[in-house]
Amino acid sequence: MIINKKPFIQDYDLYVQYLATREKNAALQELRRQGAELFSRVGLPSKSSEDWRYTDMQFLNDHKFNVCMSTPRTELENMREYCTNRKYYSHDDINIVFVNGMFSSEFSDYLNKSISGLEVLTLQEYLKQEDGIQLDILRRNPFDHHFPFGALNQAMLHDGTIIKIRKGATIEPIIHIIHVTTISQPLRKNHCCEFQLQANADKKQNRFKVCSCDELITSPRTIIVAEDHAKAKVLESHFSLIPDIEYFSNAVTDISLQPRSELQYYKSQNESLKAYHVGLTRVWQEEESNFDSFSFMTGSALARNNIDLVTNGPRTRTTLNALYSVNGKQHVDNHTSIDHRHPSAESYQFYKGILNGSSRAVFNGRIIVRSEAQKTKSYQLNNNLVAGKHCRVDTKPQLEIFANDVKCSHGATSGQLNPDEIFYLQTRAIQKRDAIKMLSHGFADEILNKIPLQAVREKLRIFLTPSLLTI
Amino acid sequence: MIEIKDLHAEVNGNQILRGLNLTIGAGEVHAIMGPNGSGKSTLTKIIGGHPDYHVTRGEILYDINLKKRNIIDMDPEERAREGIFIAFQYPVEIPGVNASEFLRASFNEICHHQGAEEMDPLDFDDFLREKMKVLEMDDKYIHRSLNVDFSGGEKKRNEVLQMIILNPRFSVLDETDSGLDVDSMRVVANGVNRLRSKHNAMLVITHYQRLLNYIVPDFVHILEGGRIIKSGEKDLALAVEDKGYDWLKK
Repeated sequence: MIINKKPFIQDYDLYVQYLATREKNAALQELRRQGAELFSRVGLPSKSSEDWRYTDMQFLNDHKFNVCMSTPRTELENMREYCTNRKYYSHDDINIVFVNGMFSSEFSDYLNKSISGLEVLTLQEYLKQEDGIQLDILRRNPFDHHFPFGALNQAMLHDGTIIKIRKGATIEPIIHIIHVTTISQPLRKNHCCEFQLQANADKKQNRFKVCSCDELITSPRTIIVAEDHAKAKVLESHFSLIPDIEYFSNAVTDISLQPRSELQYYKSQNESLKAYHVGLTRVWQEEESNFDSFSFMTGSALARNNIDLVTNGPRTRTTLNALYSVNGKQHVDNHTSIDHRHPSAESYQFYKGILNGSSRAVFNGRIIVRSEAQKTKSYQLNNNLVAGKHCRVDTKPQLEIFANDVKCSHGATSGQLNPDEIFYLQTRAIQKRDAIKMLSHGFADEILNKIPLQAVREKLRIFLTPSLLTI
Repeated sequence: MIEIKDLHAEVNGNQILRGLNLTIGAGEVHAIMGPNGSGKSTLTKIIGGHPDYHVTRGEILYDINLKKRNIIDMDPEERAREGIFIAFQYPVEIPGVNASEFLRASFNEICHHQGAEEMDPLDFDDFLREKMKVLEMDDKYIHRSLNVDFSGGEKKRNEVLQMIILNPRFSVLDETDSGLDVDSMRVVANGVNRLRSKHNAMLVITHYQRLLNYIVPDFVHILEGGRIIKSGEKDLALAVEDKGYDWLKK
């Protein structure tokens, strides 16, 4: 099996063989094969594709990403320290933790908190269940060539989270899915995980006394199902304990909202500033369900965040809000797509961005209103605060409306801080520097304050403050 | 307190002030009236230190630590710390910046500069609520973003609230009466009057005489063409109300 013509994933074939010896599930192996086949056919997207016009992914071909199947003990100690001392990790939440792409029972506490109506499984646990054998939940929605990273995620699939909120249940605590990547400098070149040892042995490359955990690839996979009338709050976090490690995180989240269910879904991406993050969130909303989401992005050298949402029933309500704050040479690309297929849906999108240094932001908001989807209300707004001199924003609304009785609007702005606002604060004895800081926090707070959960707002601010400091 | 000498100023290359002279002593309230385009707002911006407005000649001497200092090269925040306050005609709306947190930051900056102890959030909250009562302001103000969704009248009250909290030595009130109904004007004027003392001074800039019924000035000046063309006592304001400005231009 060839994952790509250029070997941007180290020893992919050996990896698949290795996984096959660990778990024998034929459906899972078939899914991997299909993913790899699709990805190798489509390959990494380039600027020639309209969807990737501003974000060329070809550079990944120059990398060789490694899979890590076990994390060094010292890193786990760092993680323990983090979980004990940082506000971001809280025992008030239901925590499901992955370290370097591997599920960590050590830091996950969902098993200790049995909450009526909530079912949390890792993919490995799911495989042991009756419906897990056929992997129905994973096979239901195949990936297509538009987003090859979905196929790549499937090709690499070995672990993940499956969350079911049972009919009528309301889950009060935040369900926090944490994806941490951490390999500190001295270990990057000489940590040997179980898989790499085997890979080296198989290749009979005895001259490699050590192998490498430099440039990891992780493929987080999450599935959330909210059954009829169920209510829950999920926070999906991606971050690194080390600020400057290079890795590639390729996350996919599938969310299925059954009739009249409500989900608050927060995705917080604060990867290392040298990392690459590609995320795809697919949402299917049935009748009268409510999807209230917030994407928060401060990390990664390059980040691409797709939300693809489809309504499968009438009177749905959708909110996609976001805040991105980037600096230096960071590049953040948000693509949203809301496909209104049924009548009387409401959707609201408000994406705000703060750009410093010579960073770049891309926003592409696609709104489809099909002929059946009469009485749809759909609003979209993208505001950018461009604080750096060499920043660039490409923002593009994409409205495709086939129904005649709808209300849709869109708008986009990009501009600098208003000098009159700075002056006003200065006349109140606030230093210019502080005034600028206060105004950019204000710009961020306007959207952050739309998050109904204070606990989530506070968690996100932990990452926001350092990203704004250099203004 | 403050002495403006032969002040010339321009904005975007347009000369607006052309030799303005004005001296205001401690304990005095001066009013400046004038037709549209006479330079009233420019004078406010110049005193505040707006970066787009440039002094081309003249000076503004202000008493700092018993010495007269020309403030035209001082940053706006430095002037504010030395007790100069501007109540703006059009206060800006700042979404996301909480009104009371902002005011506490401002208050503490001034305390810090003057060597006084900063106030913690709880004490400040009490202090703020007490002052809000003077201006008959709604409690919900505390939780709102600065001036966002405030009515014209609420914005003006908020300016005067800031003035009362920051307790400046020299205040400029730029058209504080615009957008206020008669009842609100009485409340706002009452707030301003409580601040009057022999230690501070005020410059009230207005288009109409009616505000001066509530904030009674010691002196009234008529600004026209960027300089003061006539000065007098409060009767002058009544004369302007009666006869307009044209008779003064001759």
